[in-house]
Amino acid sequence: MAAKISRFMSRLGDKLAPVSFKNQWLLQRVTALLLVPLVIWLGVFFHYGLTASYPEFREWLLGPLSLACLFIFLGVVASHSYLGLKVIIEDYIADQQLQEKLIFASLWSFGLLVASAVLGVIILFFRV
Amino acid sequence: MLNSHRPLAPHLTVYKLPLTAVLSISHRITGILLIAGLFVFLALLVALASGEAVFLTVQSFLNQWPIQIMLAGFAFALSFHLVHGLRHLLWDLGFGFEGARLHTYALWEVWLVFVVSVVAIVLI
Repeated sequence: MAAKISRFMSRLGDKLAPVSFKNQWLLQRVTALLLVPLVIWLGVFFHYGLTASYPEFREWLLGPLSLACLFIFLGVVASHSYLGLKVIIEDYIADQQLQEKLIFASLWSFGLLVASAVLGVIILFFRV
Repeated sequence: MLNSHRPLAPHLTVYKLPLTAVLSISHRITGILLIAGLFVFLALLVALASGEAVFLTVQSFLNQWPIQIMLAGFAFALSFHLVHGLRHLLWDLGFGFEGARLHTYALWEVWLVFVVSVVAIVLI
């Protein structure tokens, strides 16, 4: 069972991994550009998170604009971080097998981070 | 089969790096720090989803001064990564490569990072 899950995740990881270096380079730039305005949203998120009351923060985050920014931010920041980390791993880890394992682990870590955040928002949405 | 014993780049211990190169490596270091910062972002989100009591506990933890210093460091790393990222985008468009002015541009960048960091820390 564990071997089956591992094979499935490996195949899925291969499919999710961006195909060519040119596409990776382009995607890194596009996500960087998208993150410039989203940094302002992130600043507001931390401002509310650190200073606002629970109902205020909840109301702000579940507003249509903020919620849209949150989902875009999650997708964009995970892609940007994954691609950036992948380049760093490729540049500084000489061992090919270790390189592949670390890239695979980072891909799934960011996937898990996004999934946790989305699950958190769904729970928050239905919480009375 | 790729050679797994190829040299690593750049040779940090061999060359005295110019400011632009130091900033470039710092871009990578701040990128990794920001990935760690993503977990603070996630912690706030999960705390919010867990209810008011958990949220208030996490909020009061994040408002302790040692954590505030770490968050200021996070704001600095974010400001640096943002400003240097914009410089990278300008390089990609073919601007800012004049050898004689490279050091000046790097100094401008350092000042801009300082200003953006202060603004971010004050506003948050």
